[in-house]
Amino acid sequence: MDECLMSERSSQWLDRFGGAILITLATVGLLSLILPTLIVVVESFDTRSFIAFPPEGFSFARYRDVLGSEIIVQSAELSFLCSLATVAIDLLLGVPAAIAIVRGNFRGKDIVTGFLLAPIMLPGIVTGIAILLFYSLFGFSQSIPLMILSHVVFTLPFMIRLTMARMERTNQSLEEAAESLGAGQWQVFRLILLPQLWPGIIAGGGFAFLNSFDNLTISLFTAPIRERPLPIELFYMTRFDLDPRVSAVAAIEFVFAFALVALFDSKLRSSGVMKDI
Amino acid sequence: MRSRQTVLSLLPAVLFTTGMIGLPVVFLFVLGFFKIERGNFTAVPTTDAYASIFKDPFYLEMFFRSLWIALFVTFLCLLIGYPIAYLFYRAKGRWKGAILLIVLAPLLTSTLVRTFGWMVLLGREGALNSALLWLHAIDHPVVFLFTIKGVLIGMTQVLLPYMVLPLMAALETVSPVLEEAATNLGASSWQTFWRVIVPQTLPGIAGGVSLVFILAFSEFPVPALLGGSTFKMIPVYLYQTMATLLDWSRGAALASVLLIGSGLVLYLIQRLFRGMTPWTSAS
Repeated sequence: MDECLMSERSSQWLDRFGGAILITLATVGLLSLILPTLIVVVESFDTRSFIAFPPEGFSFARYRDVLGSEIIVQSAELSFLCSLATVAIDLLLGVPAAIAIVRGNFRGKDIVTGFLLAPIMLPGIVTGIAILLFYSLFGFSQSIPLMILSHVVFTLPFMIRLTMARMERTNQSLEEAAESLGAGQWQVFRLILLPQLWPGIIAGGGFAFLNSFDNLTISLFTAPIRERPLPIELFYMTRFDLDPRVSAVAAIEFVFAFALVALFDSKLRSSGVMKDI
Repeated sequence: MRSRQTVLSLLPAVLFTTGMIGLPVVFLFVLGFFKIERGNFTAVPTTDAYASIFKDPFYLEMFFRSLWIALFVTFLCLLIGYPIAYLFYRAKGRWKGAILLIVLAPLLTSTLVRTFGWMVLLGREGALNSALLWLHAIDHPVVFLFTIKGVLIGMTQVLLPYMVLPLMAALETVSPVLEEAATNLGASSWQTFWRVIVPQTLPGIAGGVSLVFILAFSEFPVPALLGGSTFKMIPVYLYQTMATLLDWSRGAALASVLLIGSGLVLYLIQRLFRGMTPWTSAS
């Protein structure tokens, strides 16, 4: 009897306030998602030479410092080129593999697919350490090629998965029609398949690029000690004291990533690729 | 597709994955049983590295602390993430786009940048302390940085999108017919939410929980920066072991333990959810 009354009371209470609790939690969550980035962007214009909030003035001093710093600019360039190389290898390995998985008919298909997508589930720190230890056994030490290959390891699954998702929606009869009309294999790939696949390829490549460019945990173990990519440089700049220049680098990175998305956003959205991610 | 062509298309990716990560992970387990000094592999087998991990209470404590932090962060992400996904499900038009943008935007900025944002927010002279002092809610600045509070806040925020996205996808599949039926039969709005909508999204919850747990258990930059370089969590200590102490065989053993531990917990999570959703195993 008491229990019944209790549950009724608590359910009445939840009916009245449940919605409000949900909205409050969602608001706190959404605010926490944007606040840190916004605060860094605002703080990046501060005039002081240390990090504190709110800023006391407005200047571009930190941006001048960043662009004037050879170490930061060089590490950003290195990161940019390495990410491009990573995406290029992802394309060469990933697109043919995705097409073969969807179109091919062979035994153990699920096992091969699972194996190729598995590296995504590995903790980054384990991936980094495993690669470092295994390759130093064979005398390959930390270097730029090793870093690029280690980035391909965790970005290739994105590339394969997103291309596969597009591939599953293509119409095979189009390829058959082209073939029966006398198109060669290369022509079928270039003129029929590729135009249907490119939203997935671009989304996969973009995702791979950003993930490679931002990666710290794996690079810490595979990148050369002298030439550091940007995330490692930023890690050292924040590790022992808060270097105010990081706020300017962060703001630039944020604007850059947003511009990249805005560039492709409308096209990608219309092709429905958002659902694949 | 012809079979020869299929093999030729798949071979490069399979060879790459095998050589670049398959073999290294297998060797990782083995390497913990050998002595490695300053990067020089010696063929002397030893169980020292594993033995020291399992015997030393320091490691045991660190393992359970990491586990506790990862599970608590996963819980916080679910607690905050579900309402966000639900709000997205209910919202219309422009609001829907705005919520999606807010959830996706952090994925475009590096973890490092967001961690730095929290350092600005949570510092002694940070935004949060400034706001609280201004409101006279506190007399002295609260210490968030280099404490577990800061690490929990930072990790929850960094991993939140990985919880929200699977939940959003799961809510898309919820059947509106069942909701109408529940309302018609006299269920209150909360009953409809809790007993009709949430159970239908359990597979999505399982996906989000698994993903966030794995990421939280192995998260490095957030605890290393917000908790300090000596913060007691496996990934932070693992980095110390490898980079500063240069004890590679212990590093290999510790990384193996991290991998097996996270696999084990993942298995338990999946079993728990499979028990809660008996209808999914039929399909």
